[in-house]
Amino acid sequence: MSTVLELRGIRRRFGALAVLDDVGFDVGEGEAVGLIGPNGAGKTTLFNVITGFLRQDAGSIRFAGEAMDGLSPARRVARGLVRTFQTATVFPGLTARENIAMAARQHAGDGLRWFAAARANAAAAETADRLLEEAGLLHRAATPLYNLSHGERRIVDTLMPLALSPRLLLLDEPTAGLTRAESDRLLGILRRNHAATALLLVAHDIDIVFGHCDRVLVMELGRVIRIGTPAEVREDAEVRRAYLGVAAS
Amino acid sequence: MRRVLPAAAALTAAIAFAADDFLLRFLAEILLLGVAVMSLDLLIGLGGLISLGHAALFGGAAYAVAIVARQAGGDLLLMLGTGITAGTALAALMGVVVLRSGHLFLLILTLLTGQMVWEVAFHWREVTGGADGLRGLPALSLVGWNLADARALFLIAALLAVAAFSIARSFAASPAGRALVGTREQPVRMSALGYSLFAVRFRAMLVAGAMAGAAGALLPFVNLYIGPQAVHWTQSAALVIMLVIGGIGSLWGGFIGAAVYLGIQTYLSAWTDRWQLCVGLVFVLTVLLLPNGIASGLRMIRQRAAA
Amino acid sequence: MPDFLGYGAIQTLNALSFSALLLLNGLGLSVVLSLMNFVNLTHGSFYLLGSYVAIFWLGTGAPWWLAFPAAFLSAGLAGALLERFPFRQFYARPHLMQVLLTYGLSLIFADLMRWGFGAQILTPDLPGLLQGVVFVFDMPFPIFRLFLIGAGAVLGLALWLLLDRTLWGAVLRAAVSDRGIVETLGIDTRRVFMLVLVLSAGLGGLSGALGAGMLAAYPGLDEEVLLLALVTVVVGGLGSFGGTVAGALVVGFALTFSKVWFPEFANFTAFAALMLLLMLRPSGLVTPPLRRL
Repeated sequence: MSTVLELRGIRRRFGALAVLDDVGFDVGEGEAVGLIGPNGAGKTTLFNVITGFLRQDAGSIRFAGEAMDGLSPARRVARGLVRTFQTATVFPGLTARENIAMAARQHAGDGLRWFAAARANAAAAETADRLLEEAGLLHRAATPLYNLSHGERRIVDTLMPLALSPRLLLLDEPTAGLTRAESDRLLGILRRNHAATALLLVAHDIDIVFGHCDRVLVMELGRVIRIGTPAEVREDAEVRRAYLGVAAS
Repeated sequence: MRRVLPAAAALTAAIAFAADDFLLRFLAEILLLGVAVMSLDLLIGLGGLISLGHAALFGGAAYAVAIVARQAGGDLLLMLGTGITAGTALAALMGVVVLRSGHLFLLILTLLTGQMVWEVAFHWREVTGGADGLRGLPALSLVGWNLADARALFLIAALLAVAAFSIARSFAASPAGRALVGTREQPVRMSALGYSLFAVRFRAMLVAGAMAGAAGALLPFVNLYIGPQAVHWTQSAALVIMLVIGGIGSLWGGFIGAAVYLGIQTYLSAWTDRWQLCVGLVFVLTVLLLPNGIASGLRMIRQRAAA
Repeated sequence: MPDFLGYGAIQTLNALSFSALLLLNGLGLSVVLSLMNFVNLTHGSFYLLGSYVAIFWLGTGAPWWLAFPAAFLSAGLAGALLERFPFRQFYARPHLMQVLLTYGLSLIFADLMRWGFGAQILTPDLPGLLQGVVFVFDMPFPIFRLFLIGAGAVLGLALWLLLDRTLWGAVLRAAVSDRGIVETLGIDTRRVFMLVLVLSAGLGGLSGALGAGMLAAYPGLDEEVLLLALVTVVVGGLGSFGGTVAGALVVGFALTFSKVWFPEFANFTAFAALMLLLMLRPSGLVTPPLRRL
């Protein structure tokens, strides 16, 4: 399996606080890596650094064999490195279809088109409807997002980047606020229907991470303390003490 | 729309036939300002980019046209070409300066760039006439056909308004216009989807500049004058006021706003010195009672009537 | 050469006195902006009201130094009335709506003041104490402008102590960052906001009273002053105290010296310089600590 993302020695400080301290790991093509760790472990900062919303102080990011350092978020997206945010970051006034179509048009290279707009709009709407159908939300396609339930909005939020067919998708708490059944369904869609997309998944629900990911990565206070298969990580004493033990109690 | 168009065409023809010269020029000015306000609506209504320098694009193009006309005559196509080029070029300059900033910074930077245009118009006397502005323009013409009378100017302004409206609508419905709405609603997500915020906004700025420039091209011929007040930031603010009175985001509301504003200015100032007070009151009442402008008020009435 | 030195010193003092005025006026605008997140474009009206009140006060022959508190109080009162209605309803609204509301109100006030005070240029009858000139390197410099520099420094310092160093300032800053917590402590945040607005409007009025001796008073000055205050606050970086001081100095010096070097295109040059500055530092001179996504 070839690697899609290589991180080496990533450091980032906010003032005196080292939020990321020598973080390095790989994500393989089509692989799902779960990222767990207590609040303040640096998970969201790591996402921001990988996707270019923040600069690292030291270390290198390679994506699909190419150096990503210094590229803007939009340039990284164009290479297939896409993210979601911790809270649903949708266009509340637009319909579910239009939310996803916004991504689909950009992927098709039509994002800034003016002439021959009807064809571009129709193609994007088709992509959007296909994704909504997979998720069982096609009946909500024409509903503005402010009229959707929190769970439905969260699902649309995760469907948007899928319209970009990313090589690596970073999901920040995609299952927060979803029921267990909804979460499993969403992860099932990601893993089955979009198997070519590698995932880096942050979730507080450990069962989701252990149930759907190929490998699990544990962070604490800005450092990666363990990385391995779900079974290995579950057995690790240090992880149990640092994280699982706390979560289980 | 299909039923509105013939009615509007009939109304335009009737006005052109029946109205006197003063009214025709007045209506032509409303139409031109309406187009300028509509172009501003692309920035504010779709993009959430509050510009206090839009009069610099509109009036700057008018100056460029007046200067060219005094040298090369008033051919309509040359005038429109000059106005659109000047409006687009000024918009490009303004866009490069302002579009990397947000919110209040954008407001101030549009204001500063706009005021720089005013400084040039006011101080570069040899070219712009300074505080006196420019008068004595040649007649507007098209391949030797004189278009200087009020009726022809009104009809040209009406045609321009229709063309600009359909262009604005097609822009708003296109991916570029939708992306602009996206950058207003959720800029962070737009970058996360791979859009360049600058590219999206810059494109809108160019379209708005070209449209304001086209309207500005006719302004000196309708008013028979162009002066520095046309590019002052208070004129930019007046365009924003017209937009709010008419209705942000509606596109056609700009024409209503321009009509209300110019109506108050022209007819009220005939019998009271306090017309600015009236503009202010109408404006504040609109913001307090009809935050989406008269256009949304009319739409509500129509929906209620249909229900 | 001494001429050159004197000329430079005079222009520096001119710039400082203008900066002092910009500072006081800009602080009024920035406390409301930074503490309440409210954009108040009627600020220029408070300034002009203060100018007119001071000019009329000085014309009556009452003790001259009371003109300044009178201007502060009358502008503060206007601010208090406006706070009750309609500002209070707009604190939670988007900036665009605040801009529209307050700009519309400023148009109304501009016309009311033109109605009440007339359209001519009014200048104050300064008391003998503040008239005349002092000589700096053999060059004359108006005493009034020295007074302005002193007043700006003293009042700016007092305001900094009030906002940064007193319990009241702490409550104020807390009320902004977490209204709920402060209210559970039994503090009425609505009163706090009212006081901030009175302070801001009062500062506007006071700067108007002080500025009348330098800029006079006439219809349209409210817009010019508002523009300068906005530029000051924005160049300074929206809101921090140090930022407003820096903004006032940069704008004051840029405008004064561009008038010296490019008399015809003074504003053009100054605006271009400020624009360049804002392009290089898109969030102003003094930026708040980094915010995370």
